[in-house]
Amino acid sequence: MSSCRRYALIALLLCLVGTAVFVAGFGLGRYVFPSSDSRAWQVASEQRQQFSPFWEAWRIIEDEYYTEQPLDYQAMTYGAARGMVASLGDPHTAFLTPEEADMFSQDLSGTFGGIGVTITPTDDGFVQVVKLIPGGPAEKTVLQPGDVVLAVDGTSIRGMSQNEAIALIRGEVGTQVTLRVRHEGQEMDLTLTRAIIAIPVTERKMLDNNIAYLYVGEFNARAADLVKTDLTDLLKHEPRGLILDLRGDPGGYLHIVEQVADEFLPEGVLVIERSSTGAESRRNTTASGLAESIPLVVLVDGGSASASEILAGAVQDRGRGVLIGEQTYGKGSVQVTERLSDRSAVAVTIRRWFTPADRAIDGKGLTPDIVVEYTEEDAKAGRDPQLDRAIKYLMENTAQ
Amino acid sequence: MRLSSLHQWLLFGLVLATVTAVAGLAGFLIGRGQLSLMARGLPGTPPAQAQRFLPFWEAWLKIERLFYSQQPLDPTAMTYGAISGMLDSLHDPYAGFSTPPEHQMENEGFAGEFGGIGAWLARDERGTYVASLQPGSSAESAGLETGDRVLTVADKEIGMADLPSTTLLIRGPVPSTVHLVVERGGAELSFDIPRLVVERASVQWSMASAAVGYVRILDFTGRTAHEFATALAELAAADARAMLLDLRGNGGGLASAAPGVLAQLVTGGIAYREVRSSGEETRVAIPFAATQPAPLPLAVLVDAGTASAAEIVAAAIQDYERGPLIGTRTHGKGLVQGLFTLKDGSSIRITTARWLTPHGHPIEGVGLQPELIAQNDQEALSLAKEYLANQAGIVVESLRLPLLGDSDGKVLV
Repeated sequence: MSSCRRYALIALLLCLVGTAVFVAGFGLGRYVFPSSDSRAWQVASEQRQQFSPFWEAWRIIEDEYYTEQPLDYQAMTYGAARGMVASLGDPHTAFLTPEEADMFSQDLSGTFGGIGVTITPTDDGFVQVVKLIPGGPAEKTVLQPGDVVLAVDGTSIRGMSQNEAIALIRGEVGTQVTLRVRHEGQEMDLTLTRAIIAIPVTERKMLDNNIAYLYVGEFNARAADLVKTDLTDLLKHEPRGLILDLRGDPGGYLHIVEQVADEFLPEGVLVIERSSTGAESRRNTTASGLAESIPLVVLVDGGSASASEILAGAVQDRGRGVLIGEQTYGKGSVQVTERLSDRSAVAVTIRRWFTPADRAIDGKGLTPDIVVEYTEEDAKAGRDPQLDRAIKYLMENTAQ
Repeated sequence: MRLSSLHQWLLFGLVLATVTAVAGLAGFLIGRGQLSLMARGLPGTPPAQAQRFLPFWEAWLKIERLFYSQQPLDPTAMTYGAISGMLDSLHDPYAGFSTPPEHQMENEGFAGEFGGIGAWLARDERGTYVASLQPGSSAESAGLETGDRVLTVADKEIGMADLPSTTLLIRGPVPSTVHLVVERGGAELSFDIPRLVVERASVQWSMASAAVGYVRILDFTGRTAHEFATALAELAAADARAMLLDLRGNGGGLASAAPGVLAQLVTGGIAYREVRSSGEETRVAIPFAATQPAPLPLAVLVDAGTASAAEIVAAAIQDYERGPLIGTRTHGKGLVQGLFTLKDGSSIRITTARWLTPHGHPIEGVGLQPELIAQNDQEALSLAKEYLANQAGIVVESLRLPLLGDSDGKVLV
């Protein structure tokens, strides 16, 4: 073999290897690790044309805007995203900054580094402690419900939104936070160590007359396991009936309510989902639940929303139990939260849902079988007429 | 080219490794779409913002792909939403975005004239009705009457539509005709009304006593300086020997109209100073008036509703000691807004400067302190009467201010 032919062969080999590797790299880049950049680039050219007024406005602001601080381009970008999303006119479709997105996901996963209090805004722009979470850091201090938080780590929270105040108080587990609080009319500083806070998601108890009671506060990541544990324990007492309290439950994850509903409902449709493309899918419950035949009352009110309404709607439509309380919230849509490349996120309404009998929930909510109001006077007097009615119903309709 | 076999194999290996690495990386980056992005940048995006703006496009794409909606997405509405959101992020209380039709109304408001029918419309819980008619207007000649309920405009149902959208339907180019169906006493009446140039007066005047002329500026439009000149000429013809200028409740408008009004009250000097972010200061001069009116004794009525362009006029009168301000401290709006029309006919309004009085006093958040404080209208009028009588050397029995039409909540179409 002449050396010339040998070099030609080697060159050919190199070309083949090079091409093969290029194609492999291209495929890997395109289909396995596509960059968000390239997808963003593919926005239809017509839309880019329509978007040009935005950049006109942007440049005018850069040139003409009167401000004492330099322009905050990040805030302008997030503002634009927020406004673009708001133009859709759907209250449940939202843009979240990275901080907001983190807080949102912390809420749903049920654990975060906090001090173990729930708060509410005060009239004068601060926040007030409403409840201490059992076992949390705050419970070990003098902090009491009604105390007002004035500042966090030296930063006054006056005029901040509740979410901004929360973001300051929360932080990495094990770190310290100093609160300036007004406690019994006196101002004082309290230093607390942030800890993982277990939000009580469920609460179970046996009521008189052998009636079981289960409260579910939120369908977060831990709710399914907790409900299973609670039900197992409650059913040991062989109760004559079960009251499932979904009042004030704002919803949560769809796959969690699916698991929870499975415990209460035999085989059948749980919810019908429809997407904007007209695609329809049904989510079903299977015949393997812990509490599929026990007489059931579900308590609902205007705070029962989303996932709670899926469960309550299926119970009502399939005749599994009765709903007692007040008209539910009526949030009949499903959102997905998608993280973006800088850890901001969009929560997008992807589907609307309908009960097994094909009733739309959105905007209307569910009307209980037995409507019972819970007034402010009831709250002050410590009465719960809705629970009382549920107990009465079970007493009348079940045999001991 | 005689290398040892070992060297040859090393060289071959090296070349192979290089080719593999370069080809693989190039393939990966091109496949990922990063090279094209680096080469071209994001559409229309300033290069400095390209990286920061990616999440915005990602959000847009997620919405396109995922959002549940009965109607197709409207990219124009989304763009306008983005502009509004960006303006909100500035925390400029005076910033705002207007769609093309809104901007057209905004422009007509500043111009003080437009193509219309000369009817004042108002809205109540039953819908839109004719509140009054401009004398001599085409609406009046066509036979429209006060109290008529507007059912359709150009065959579009009005129902409970808001006034701005009804306004836009009725106004239009001159000459043209608009078709209206109204309800009067249970009957439906139909009108074809020609659109003519309608002027919305921004200045009202009358004699407040035998010798005192009264001028009220409602707001500042492109017509204000001209109307003000007419008012002064007519009052002079009526032998006014002192003047009461009423700026109460005047929230401003077109700031550039203020120097033209000042030219008729003050001789020369600057109307106000404008300071931009850069610290650059512009002195806006009072233009030279063609005819100098007689320097009548002047008093100016102000209140907490006196703002912006009205404060510019009041501040210059105060700084040049042309006459006393009477009333309560003014609003204190010392920020100037620019109105910028975008290529598609929409507009943004942002604060572009703060303004200072001719003597360099800031106004924003401070307002003007009147020389003569009056807690109510009666007190203000008696102070004005006393001052003007003294200055002009005349006897003023009492000041009677004309009852002027209240245009609150009504729109001229």
